[in-house]
Amino acid sequence: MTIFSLIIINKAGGLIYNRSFHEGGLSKISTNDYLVLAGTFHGVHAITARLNPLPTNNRLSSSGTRPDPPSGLEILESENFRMQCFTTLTGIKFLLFSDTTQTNVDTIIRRVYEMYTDYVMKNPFYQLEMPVRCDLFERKLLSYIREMNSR
Amino acid sequence: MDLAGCSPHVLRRQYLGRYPCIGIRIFGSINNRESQSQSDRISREASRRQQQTSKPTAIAINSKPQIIYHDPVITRPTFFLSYQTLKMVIYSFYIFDRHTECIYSRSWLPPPSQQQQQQQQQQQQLPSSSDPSSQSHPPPAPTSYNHPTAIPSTKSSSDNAKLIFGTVFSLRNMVRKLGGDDDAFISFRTAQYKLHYYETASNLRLVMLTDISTLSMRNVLHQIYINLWVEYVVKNPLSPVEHKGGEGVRNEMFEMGLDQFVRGLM
Repeated sequence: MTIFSLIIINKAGGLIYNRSFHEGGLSKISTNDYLVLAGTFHGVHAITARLNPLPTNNRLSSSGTRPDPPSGLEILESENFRMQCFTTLTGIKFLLFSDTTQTNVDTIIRRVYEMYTDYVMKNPFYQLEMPVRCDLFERKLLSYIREMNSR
Repeated sequence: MDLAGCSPHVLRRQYLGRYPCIGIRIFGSINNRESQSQSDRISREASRRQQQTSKPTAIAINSKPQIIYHDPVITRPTFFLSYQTLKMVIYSFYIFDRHTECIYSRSWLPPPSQQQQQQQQQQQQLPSSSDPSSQSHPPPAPTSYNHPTAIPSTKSSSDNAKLIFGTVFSLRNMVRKLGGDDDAFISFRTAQYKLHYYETASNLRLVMLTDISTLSMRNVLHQIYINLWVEYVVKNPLSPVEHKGGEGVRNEMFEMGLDQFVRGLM
């Protein structure tokens, strides 16, 4: 059980954070390629939300709540890794890459989101939609993922 | 090839190691002729005694019934798979050739109900009723709702195939970039559906959309390729090498085999 890396994509499809936690998990690609990958994924995510084969009803249910809009890609599986995508209500995407046997990715990704809200959003020097350069976030994230990987 | 008979065997081979809860019962002529006659005798005697006495427990002890699995109707061993653990819903299936063209698509979704069609039509009418040009036209007769197949469905299905190909192609390239050249994209899942992908060495791409609880369908797609595509399309002497516009794919054997195979899974 290993977590390979984390990518954060802002609501416009730009890469704002990219960190690898494990050597040899994913092949090394340049920062430019990561930017392309983030943009591609943003587009694919929007398409997957529209591909829903089932008919959707937008009517209000009896309890007066509208059903959730169709979600985009959540889990991607390949032979060598597994990727989970968590989309926040504000449209920021957290992509967590792990090996195929990793469990509890839901919990881990939510914890990472909490850290983001605590140490990035509450940082008075952070500019919205811009790359994340927050020391405290980096430190807390690294120690948390290291703890997860050493289990 | 007897596909209906083969699918449980195939499934058994594929899933036996993975899902321990699948039970396989073998019924067949385990005993030979002698024990068969013996068992007949025992059972006859037991039934006779049962008629005489009203204590079935005593009979069971006295006659020492043997446990013999024998079914005179079924002569060869048959496999019964409990499909409960494999129960799945398959929405649609697509084949793309190496020129990125969708050469076959098939949907197992039930046609939209009348109520939903009416809703859709009402939604389509709503914006048009606001502009003055449409005011002069009389509203369409209510009998038009009764048509089971809507015209825009064919257009949207070809659009859907293009969207699916784009998605699958991008994700495959992304996976190759990150996981190395030997890595293969298997599936992705959203909150509503799951898409399974299988690519052959000749760049033929098979895509299947199922419900989200379905486990990996890679084996199933592989079986479709081996048992249906190779058998009925590649080995068909009348089928062209390139299936432009789905030529040679939509033959009776392939379509029937696919339908049987998928309905066997559901």
